[in-house]
Amino acid sequence: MRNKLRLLCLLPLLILTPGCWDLHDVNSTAFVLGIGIDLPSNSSSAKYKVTFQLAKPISAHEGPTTQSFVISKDADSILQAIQQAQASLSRRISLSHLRAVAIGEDIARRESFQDLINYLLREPDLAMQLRLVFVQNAQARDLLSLNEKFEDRPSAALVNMGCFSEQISIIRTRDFLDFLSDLKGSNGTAYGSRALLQTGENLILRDGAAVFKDSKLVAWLNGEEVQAANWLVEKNQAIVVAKTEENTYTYEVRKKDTTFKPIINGGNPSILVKVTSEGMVMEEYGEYLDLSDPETIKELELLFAETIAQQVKTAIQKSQKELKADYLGFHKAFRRHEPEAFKSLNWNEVYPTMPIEVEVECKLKAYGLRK
Amino acid sequence: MPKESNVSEDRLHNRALLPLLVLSIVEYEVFTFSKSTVAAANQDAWLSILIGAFIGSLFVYLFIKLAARFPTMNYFQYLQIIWGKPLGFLISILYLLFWVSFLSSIFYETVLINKLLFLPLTPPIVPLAIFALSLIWLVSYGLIPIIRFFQLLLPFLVIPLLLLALLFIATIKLEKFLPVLENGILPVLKGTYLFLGAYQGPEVLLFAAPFFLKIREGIKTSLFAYNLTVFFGFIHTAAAIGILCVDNVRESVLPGINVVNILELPGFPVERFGLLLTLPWLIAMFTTLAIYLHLLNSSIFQLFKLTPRKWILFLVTAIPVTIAYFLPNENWHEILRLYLTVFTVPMVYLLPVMTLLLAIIRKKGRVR
Repeated sequence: MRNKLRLLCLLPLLILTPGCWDLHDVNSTAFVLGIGIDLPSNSSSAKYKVTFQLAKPISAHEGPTTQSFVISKDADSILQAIQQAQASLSRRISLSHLRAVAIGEDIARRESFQDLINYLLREPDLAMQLRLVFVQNAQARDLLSLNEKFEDRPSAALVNMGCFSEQISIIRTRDFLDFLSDLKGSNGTAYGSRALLQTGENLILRDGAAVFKDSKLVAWLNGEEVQAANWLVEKNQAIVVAKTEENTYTYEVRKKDTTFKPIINGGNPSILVKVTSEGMVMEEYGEYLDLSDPETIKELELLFAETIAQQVKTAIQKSQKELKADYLGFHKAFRRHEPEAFKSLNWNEVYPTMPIEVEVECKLKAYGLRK
Repeated sequence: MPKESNVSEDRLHNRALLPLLVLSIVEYEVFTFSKSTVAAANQDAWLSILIGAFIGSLFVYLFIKLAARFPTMNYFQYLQIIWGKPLGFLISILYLLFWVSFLSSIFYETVLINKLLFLPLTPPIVPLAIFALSLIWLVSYGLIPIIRFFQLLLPFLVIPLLLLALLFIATIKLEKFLPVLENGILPVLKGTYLFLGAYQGPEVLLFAAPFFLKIREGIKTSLFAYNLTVFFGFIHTAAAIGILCVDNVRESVLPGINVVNILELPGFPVERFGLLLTLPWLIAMFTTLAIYLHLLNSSIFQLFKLTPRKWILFLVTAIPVTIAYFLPNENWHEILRLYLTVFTVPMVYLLPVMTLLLAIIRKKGRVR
């Protein structure tokens, strides 16, 4: 009898529990796929212009139509912008599927990156698998509004482009948390992804990179400069074009490795950079060489090594002399190998004048399907 | 409410030590895995854990030796024999206070996680009350049903955590562990202390010993169980350092969930691995609360010679639940947790070892 009474008391729960405070119905949720942060048109009224790219759910039988739309709101904080956006939407905003964050050039130059993304780090709904790009000569809103050729949504294009970045040496891919870690580990210096819009052709160009100093954008690197810098920071494949008088030879690097050897001599730091690469000759222009001759291979290896060394030196020169910012990560090598000496160095002062030597070793392993 | 004698006829095989220890030790760490260790030792936290594993294993071994001297008694009973009645009683009261604080902290953590991740709009009292009522139901049956329940739940905790460990291995970046011993050995040792402090739970052995058939033969199982939890701690901490990096771990409230949410496996149909932690977390919290609530409840009956009554269990549960509910904010909880971590080492590890030493000196207990 007592058990039956207990059961009777529990029965009302069946009626009361199906509805709940935290009901998340997919049909009443507005999923944000990308967020863009720009300077507002009127800087005195708000700090940011925040653009949301929202998924527009369609039923399968409706066929291929535009699957997303964007809305922008001016606000003093990201959360305030979300609230404003929410006021104009019939569905509840959710950031659980946010995959891309784009930051416009103007605001990246003016505001500290940590301030811009502070809300995103605190939001529990968010998974941190975020692609991060800085948009050159345009607003982040323009990027998120683009009708990309392959994908229905630019954020999907950014995510997919990030998947094969290891095969392209002229781009820099640094995801959200990695970029943030770089900034924190080097007093605000880092080297992040760039996006450039080719609006006429509806394309997002991903070559090049954004350089940050004191947590603010200070310079852009073009594709060539990024390839040079990537010899020191990335493990991605590279295409090296070496020229001798009228002839051009193209070397496809399949494997590369770069080591830094920090040296402290009488309290003065210097560093030795050793680059090794393996790959294939994939293209010849002008005089065709006899690649079955070991001497020719050796000459070509030297030629490519010189070209790569020149690229690396250019990257170091740009970082040391022009930008005076160690986005190439030499400080990490010093911290790892000479932790005691590193503590006593004022790296920002030492770095621009520090001697850096470069040694390159190239190996030609094959030449495609033709000798 | 069934009355529990010290030696039940239905005694447990030593195999049951595995779920008992694993589920008692693993709790909030599922989401925070040794955050304090990383804060102290930075990228060398993995070293702290390895040293901690060795020291912790030694303690677990000594706990079994102590329990084996008094195979039909629980810790509080022989505390009074070894230390004398007044001192033994005083130490027992200290434990009760420690458990009340610990339970309050874990109840608060359930509220926090629900507020942040699972049920942000639901009034916190609702999941808290449901949790507390289901705990009272389980605890009212006594220790042996609790351990049997743990045996059923163990795979649901261990399998997702092992799966995550495999996923981590592919993503960890070794350069984030360099340089090794950047600040010398002292931060590493501090990290070891905090790691041991974060691993409350091995002392449960001392209370559960009379319910096992041959506790003296439980060394291998206990060490395996303890080191399994250490392995989870190690791999999650290594993942937090190797994926999130030290700076982000320091600032993160729930680094465990952050690091899992970053994982990406191209081509894999699942993109939110964080969900893999949901079930282990629920199990870990519930089981740790259950065992400590049982210890608190049964010890109160034992120390104050009360007749077991269900309303007393309700009252005992209400104390930490109320503290947790009225803790003003996360900062207070972090301070409480820090104090608990610091006091865990003397309370959980050193006091039992001192008790064993005293028992040997005073020739108390059975020696074989």
